[in-house]
Amino acid sequence: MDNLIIEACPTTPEVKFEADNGIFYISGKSYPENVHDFYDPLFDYLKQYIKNPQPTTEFAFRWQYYNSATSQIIVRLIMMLEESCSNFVVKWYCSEDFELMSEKGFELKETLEINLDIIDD
Amino acid sequence: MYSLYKEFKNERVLLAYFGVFSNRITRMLVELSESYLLKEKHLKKGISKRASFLLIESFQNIIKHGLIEKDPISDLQYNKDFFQIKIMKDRIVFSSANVLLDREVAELQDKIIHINSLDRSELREFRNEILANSELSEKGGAGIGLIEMVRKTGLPLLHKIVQLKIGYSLLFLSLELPTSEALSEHKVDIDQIEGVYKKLVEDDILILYKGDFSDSSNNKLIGMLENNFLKNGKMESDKVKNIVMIIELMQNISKHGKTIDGRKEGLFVLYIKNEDLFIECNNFINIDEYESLKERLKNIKSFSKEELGVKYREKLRNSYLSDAGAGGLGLYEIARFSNNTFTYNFVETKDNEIYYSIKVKTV
Repeated sequence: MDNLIIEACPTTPEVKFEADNGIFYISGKSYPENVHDFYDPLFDYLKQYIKNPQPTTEFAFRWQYYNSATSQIIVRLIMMLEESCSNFVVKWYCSEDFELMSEKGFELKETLEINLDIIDD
Repeated sequence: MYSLYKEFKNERVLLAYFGVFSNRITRMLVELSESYLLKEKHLKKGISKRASFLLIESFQNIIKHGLIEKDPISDLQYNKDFFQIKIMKDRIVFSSANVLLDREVAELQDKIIHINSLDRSELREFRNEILANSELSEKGGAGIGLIEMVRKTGLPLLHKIVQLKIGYSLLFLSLELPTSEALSEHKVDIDQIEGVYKKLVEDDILILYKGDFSDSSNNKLIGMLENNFLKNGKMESDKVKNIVMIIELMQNISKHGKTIDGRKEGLFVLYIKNEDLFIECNNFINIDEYESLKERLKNIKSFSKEELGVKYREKLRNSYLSDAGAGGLGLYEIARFSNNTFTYNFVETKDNEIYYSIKVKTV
């Protein structure tokens, strides 16, 4: 599969999906008016990937902030891989000082009961 | 704030800013105003160009005589510089107020009176004369901007000077650009501009936007507020919470606001009360959503911090299952970020419309 690379825009994040390495990365801000317009192609890409996933899969996030509609998308992205990939880990990069984002990561880990590492950036 | 909405009912777009006009703020206000002008697809190209020109000239006028160097007036009530753009069906109105030193007043007033006395050809001659003979004044320009304002609008400069205290006055200036037919005289009343300015300053309003909240209309405004809250680009939790609350409130209008004439009309205000900064969003809602929204808000307000956390996580988990499962997550986020101090109100208008407002104290 080709990589999926999307540059950051004022309301949408940077995306780097590398199916061949099993590494998926999203970083920046996300508050598009319509989350589906932006995220549907990402779901399509992941749907393809989970047909034949790598032995290990990593989803890395480095957020500045996001809206509530994006919160739901994050849950769905994570759960899509969680249910279909063995050895799946979420890496949640944020500075230790950025309490809000650390809490968001912790909350996701608890809510979804997933393997999520909060990594000081 | 419904009274404020009624006051600006006829404006398609209104953006008002009060405060100091630094280069950064000015650049953002120009970009924001231009984005609103660009959205007015019915404007002819010539009108759009003239509107952009007048926009820049209005700002230059404020900057030239701006507040930055006038700190001693901080004790006065009406001491804020002000810019406002109003886009109406048949015209665009640019209004400004800025504090002047007494020594600037006489010179500026003479200049305005002289320019207003000239007809079209005399104006052109006067402009050419200035360009050929005079050196640029210490503060830049030599009245060229004022001459061009009259030439581009076809109307005299509408102004009023009000003394604040000995040594300081407030200059109100209003430009009116007709967008369909030429106007023979101003429709704007400068006393009314002064009245609105005073009312909004008394209410300690920093930014007011009234207009369409559909699609991406808000993104420039959000970008400007983001720039203000996160000046150094550093992600600080409380500041990020404020930005996210602004986004949620604005996107709530675009999603759930009532569509009137193809627009999601709303009002956004950032203001200070008892030294706290508040965000308020107002819009009309569909009557069939009234009871359920009222109930949802009442419920959320009744939750403790712990209950809010539990409910939020429950909704988040449900979002995995369906879009509908996580409906209203934005309100939960606002409640959590504001420590559940947000307030709301509904007004049933005479036309049987429901006007909804929600107010959040920033953290």
